[in-house]
Formats: sequence, structure tokens, C-alpha cells
Amino acid sequence: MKNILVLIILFASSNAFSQKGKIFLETNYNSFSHSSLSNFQQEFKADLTPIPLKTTDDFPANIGFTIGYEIIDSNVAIFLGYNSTGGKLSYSDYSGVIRLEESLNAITFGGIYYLNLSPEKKNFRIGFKAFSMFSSLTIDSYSKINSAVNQEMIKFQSIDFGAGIQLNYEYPFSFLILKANLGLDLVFGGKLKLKENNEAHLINNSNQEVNTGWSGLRTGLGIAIPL
Amino acid sequence: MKKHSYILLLFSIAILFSKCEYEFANDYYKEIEITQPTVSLSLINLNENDTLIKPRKIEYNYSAPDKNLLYQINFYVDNNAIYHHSNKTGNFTLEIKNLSNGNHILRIEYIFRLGSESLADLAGYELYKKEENISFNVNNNLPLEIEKVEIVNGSIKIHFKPYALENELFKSITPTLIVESEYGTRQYIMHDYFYIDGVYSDRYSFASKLTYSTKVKNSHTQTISKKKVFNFPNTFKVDLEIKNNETNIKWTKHPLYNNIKPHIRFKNYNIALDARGGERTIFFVGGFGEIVNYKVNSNSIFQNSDSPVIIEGSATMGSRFDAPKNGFLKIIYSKHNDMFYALSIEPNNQNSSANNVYISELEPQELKTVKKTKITSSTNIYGNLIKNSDNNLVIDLNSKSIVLDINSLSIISEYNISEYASQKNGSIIRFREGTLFIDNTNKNQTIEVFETVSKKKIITLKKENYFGVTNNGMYFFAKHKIYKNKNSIITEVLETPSIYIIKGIDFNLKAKKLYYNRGQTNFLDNNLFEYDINTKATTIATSLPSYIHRFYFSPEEEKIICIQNIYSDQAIYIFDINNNQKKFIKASTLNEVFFINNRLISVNGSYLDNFF
Repeated sequence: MKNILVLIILFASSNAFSQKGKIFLETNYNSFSHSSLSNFQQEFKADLTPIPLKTTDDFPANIGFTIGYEIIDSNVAIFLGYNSTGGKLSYSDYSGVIRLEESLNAITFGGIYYLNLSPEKKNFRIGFKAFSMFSSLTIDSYSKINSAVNQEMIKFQSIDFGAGIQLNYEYPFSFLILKANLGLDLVFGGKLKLKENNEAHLINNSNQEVNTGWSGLRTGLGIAIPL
Repeated sequence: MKKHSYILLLFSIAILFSKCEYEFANDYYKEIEITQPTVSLSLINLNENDTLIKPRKIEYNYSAPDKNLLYQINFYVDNNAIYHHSNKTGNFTLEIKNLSNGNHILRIEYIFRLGSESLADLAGYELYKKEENISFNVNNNLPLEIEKVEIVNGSIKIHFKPYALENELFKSITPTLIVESEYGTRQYIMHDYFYIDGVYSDRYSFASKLTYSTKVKNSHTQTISKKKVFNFPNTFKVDLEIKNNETNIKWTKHPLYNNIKPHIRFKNYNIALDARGGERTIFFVGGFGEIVNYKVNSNSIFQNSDSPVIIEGSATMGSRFDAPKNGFLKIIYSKHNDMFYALSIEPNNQNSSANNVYISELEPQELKTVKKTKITSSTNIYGNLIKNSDNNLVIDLNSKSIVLDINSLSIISEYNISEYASQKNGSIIRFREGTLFIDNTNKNQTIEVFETVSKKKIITLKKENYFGVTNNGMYFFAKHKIYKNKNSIITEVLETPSIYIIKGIDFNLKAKKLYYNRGQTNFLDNNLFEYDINTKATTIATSLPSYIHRFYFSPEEEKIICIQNIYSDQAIYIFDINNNQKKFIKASTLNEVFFINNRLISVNGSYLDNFF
């Protein structure tokens, strides 16, 4: 499904290559604020008392990737991003292991509009972006006590919307352009619906929706290739 | 071509994105050190080597930290499951009725969470089993054995062997004393206030041979001990000394004087005796010749309902000698061989019409029977014995009269009624010196006299109930006349007024005097008459205060023995014909008495020396 989505996006954007532009590729390091999922994970932990589960992963900042194409004449770029993070509760001893892994990733598709900060300094630009994210959450529980193994996997999906602002810096180098950016995204998470049944969605013990929380600081280093 | 290269580049990057999954941290691992759990299970009321004599409700308590959650407790007795539960505290009943006596093991197996707090522990997969073994003893039927029995202070002390369950006696164990004696078997529940330091006071028993055992009973079983036989010398004696006007009772101290309440019963008397011994005199009880049977009964000191006889005997005035149950019919003395001869006719159990006729020879000092010889048999129990002029014996029976050699007791001659008369028997047949007197039954009221050599009838006389003849056969009476028989010639000697009849006769050969008494049909006379053969004069030899029932003359003593009969004043009078002295003694019976050698003898087996 994810691959099909990517192909659709690429196909839709293929017409842009007919105009003067540049393609860019970034490696990002992004922070997130998945407080809802973090709390949800803590509820899990509490529910499994007295097993002394430890939170080994709590949806931390992580490396992501962005690829985009900028239409130079109109100061507009479209981009496709990928982010992933996760939460994990685990405990193991001589008698076995119990773990709960929540793998979360998202593919972002959006556009950016650039403004030069000044006519003299064209290397610095500020960008305003709007995007949509396709998030996928996989909850994988596993336990093995003595020889008894128990494993279960549940998948959820959500569509999130966000906007952001970023400061770009570009430095021409040979036929490439080195680029860096720093920004901030604000994302509104949608319902995490059960993949196999769209009518069901994830809630916490207080019957509140559990959402993704991709909002956070965005950094990136990359290259742009003029076409 | 360049355009397609870009698209291919973009596609590759997109694929790369899709494979960049988040890398999770490694699992958290905790090192756990397994230690021995500090749990315990205690039994509140069962200790090692306790002895159970009844089912016991056992309480248990599982004590452990919370992490050592109890799953189950299983109880086994000798590896047989008896109870299981999962509560930390509780109880169960340890039944013993199906357990043998002796040692048993209560095994307690309790299963709980190890408490390591590992995943397996938390999931309930990590269990720990612990066992406790408690040894206990079962005693379902321990007998209470008797060590010894002794008499202490007039009572019986029963010493028991050490009893392992002594603390349970009179509580969960009810002991019963079983006493077997000649008076039967009695069982009574023992009282704790008679049980001190393993010694029980038996205040009930008093037999001289006692067989003791015990029965102990608990909630579900009972057991009987071995028997212990206890004999003690029965020194308790009771003596009745019957005198002329009073009776003296003496008795000794009973060995079990604190257990017994004796009382003596005879005739109409029932007199309590002090078990510590004593003496008591009561007013006239019996006369001479009377055998007073007595019984000493006793109750237990605590019971009045049971009254077994502990002593029984008989007493009589004077000394005793052996006599048949119904007494002798006659006792005579033979001076020439210094021997007493006694006639008895005793019932034949096999043939009631063939009673045994015995002659007993009694030595003269204590009248002990030297020899008892069966002479013949008779169809009834009436008879007479005299000594004839040849110093041989003559037995008069209802169908015959027999002459016996006094030394050998062999029959010299025998005179049967069938040889003289048509009837089979009479009241009594008397052979006297060649003459046979057939005293017919009162129904016929006749006397027939025969000369035995020729068997010729000499005379037939009417009688009126009474008939008598002297030992030499010379004088006899019928109705109110006395006749003389000499050479088979009968002559009248005397006659009383016809309103009288003569009731008895005897002859003093030496003084040539006849003695007789008289009366009317249903009345007797107080006087004994003396008829002098020579002078033919009749005088009153003596008079008694009341009627003369019977009398006879003792030629050896030259005394007349008279038996006076009146209900309230039965007595024996002895009259000395030489000096007219007279002595009497109370009597309570009309049985024959004889006075020989200054000894008053009763056919019932008693005698008084130096009476006169």
C-alpha cells in the first residue's frame, strides 16, 4: 500500500520536470511530540503491573528523509518526506521476555513556498509549507514465559495534516547546491483507525482518541541538483 | 533518456524511504537472584508426637510474604490424602477411627508462588512445593490395666498400671469397672473422686474372690483390660449361740468393713450387723432340737437393692452332730457295746415308694456317724427302732418288722404283714418278743395281734387313733384300756374312764410300773399316770403345766422324758422317778428327744450334756 502511494505521488509530480527547477534530497533529524501515544504506552505499562516493564523507547526524535522538486521560477517546491519513530515496553529475565513495540512511521506529501529574506542575500530563504501525512502504527506484543509464546500484532493508520515554517540556506558547489534548513512543523493528528476495520479506532483508558504527534523541530542537510 | 533517469532515481529513493523502519532499543533484562522462600505452615493444635485418642480438629496457618501466594495445601496421613484447601488459614478434622494404634505421619504439602518476581513467577508458572512431616500417635483403645488389688482400711484399692491417657480419664474416656464374683458380674462407671494417683477405691465389692477388669470407652471405641483375680481370706464369721431363753449373736470384723452392710436373717428376725464386728443378745429364738437356719445378707455400702447371701448356716441349742436332713426317727443306746444306733428313712429320688431305711452307728462321745448301713426299703417314711431283750435291734416299718443283729446289722428275722393279714401295710408293724402287733391305718381303726411262731391271730381290738406297746411286748393299749400279753393270752390290766383314750405307754421293768398318759380325742391331759403292777394302784407320777404330747421312760437313767405341747410353751420335761426332781428346757419342735447318759439328744442332730 505504501509503495503504491509512493508511485502515485511520483506519477502525479512527473509533469513538473518539464519546467526549470531543481531536485533536492535531504536527510532530516526531526523531533516529535507523541504525547498521546506516549501516554497510551504508559497505560499499557500500568495495565501490566506488577510486571516491572521498562520503557526503552518513548517515541524519540529520529532521522528522516525528504525528496522534493523546486520550480525555480515560481519559488514553489513539492516534497515527499519519510519519518519514523517508536515506543517500546520490555522486560526480560531468566524465565522469559515480554515486550510491546509500537512502530510508527509516516510519509509526508506537501508543498513549500519560498520567500527571499532580502534581494542581496538570495542564499537565505524562508519557506512556508503545508502537507499531509499518512501515518502507520503497528503494535506488536510478544511474550515468551518458559516455553509458552504469545504474540499479537495490530495495525492502525491515520491521515494527519500540518503546516510549517523553515529557514533555508543554499550554497552552490560545483554543479550541486548544498543546502540546509531549520524549521518547525505543527501537525494535527487524525484518528488512528484499525487497518482492517476503518470503523474502529484507537482510544485510551479514558475513552479518548489516541493520535499521532508529529509536531516538532525540523532540521535537514541535503543537496539540490538543478535541472 | 535523461528524464527517465531522474524518475528512476526518485523511485529508488522512495523505495529506500519505505524501508527505513525505526530501530528499537534492546529488551530490558533484569538479573534475578533466586533465594529460598521464607514461608512456614504451622499447626495450632498438633505437636510432634502428640497422642490422639479421639478425632481432633486441627487448625493450620500459612505464614508467608505476600509474594509467596498460596495455591494449595494438601494433607496426607501415611500418604493417603485426607484434605486439601487453598485458604491460608483453616481447619480440618483428623479422624483416627480407621487408623491403627501407634505412630503415624501427617504430611503437609503446600504449594505456593516462589516469589522470585520473575515473569514466570508473576504468571503463576513458577511454583514451589514444600513439605512438613509431623509424627503423631494414635491410641484408639488403650486398655486400663490393673497392677494389683489390695485391702486398705476395710475397702479395696485397685492399683492401675501407668496409663498413658490418664489425663483423658473421666473426660473423653469413660472408665468402667467390671467386677465378677460369686454374686454375679457387675459393671459400674468409675467416679473420678474415687480415683487418686492411679489408685481406684472400690467401695462396692465385698466378695472374697473378685475378678477385676476395666472397660474404657472413648468417642468411638471401647476396650477391655486383662482380668485380675483377687482373693482374700474371708475371716468374717457369724456364730449363733442358742440358749434356753436367749440367743447370743457374735460376729467378727469383716475384712471389707467399709464396703459392706451385713444383716442377719433367721426366723422372723432381720438384724443389722456392724461390719466392724460385735455381739448382740436377743430374746429366745429357738428351743432344744430346733435347727435355726440363718443367712447373712449384705448390701454394698452404697446400694440397698442388691442383697446377696455371704454366709449361711444353722445353729441349734447345744452341740451338733450329723443327722439326715429330716432328722433321725429314733436314737437308742446299747450299753453293752457302748454304741448309739439311729434309724432314718430317707427318700429315694428314683423311686418314691421305695424309701431307704438306714441304721447309723454313732460313737458315744460326739455322736459322730461311724457307719451307715442300708437295711431295707419302705413305702413311707414312718418307722420305729427299739432294742429287744437280746440286745438286738428291732425296726418297725409300715409293712414289716425286722430283727437285726446289733453287731453285724444283718437281719435275724423279718415279719411281713402279708404273711399275717390281707392288707399290704398298716400304720406300723411291731414285733415284740414272739408277738406281732399290726397297727392298722387309722381308716381301719383296729389292732391285730399275732403269735408269730404259729402266725395265729390272738386278738383284734378297736383303737381310736392311738396305739402303743412296751418294748418287751408285754403291755399295750387300745382306746381307754391297757392290756397284758403273756403266752399269747390277752388280759385287761386297767382302764381309764371311757371319756378318755390312752395316748402313750411305757414300762419300767425294774420297778414293775407302767406309765401312761391319756386324753380325749382332740385333747391331751397334763398328767402322767403310774400304774404299779404289783399293787395295781394308779397314781399321778407327775403333772406338767400343759398337755403331755409324748413321753417315754429311760431305764438307763430312770427318768421320764415328757414333751409338752402348747403353741406358746413347747418344752421338754425330764422327771426323775426316784427323787421327783424335774427339769425342763424350751423346745420349738415336737421331734423326738432322748435322754441317755445324762445327755439330752435331739433326732435333728444336737445334744446337751449334763443336762440334769
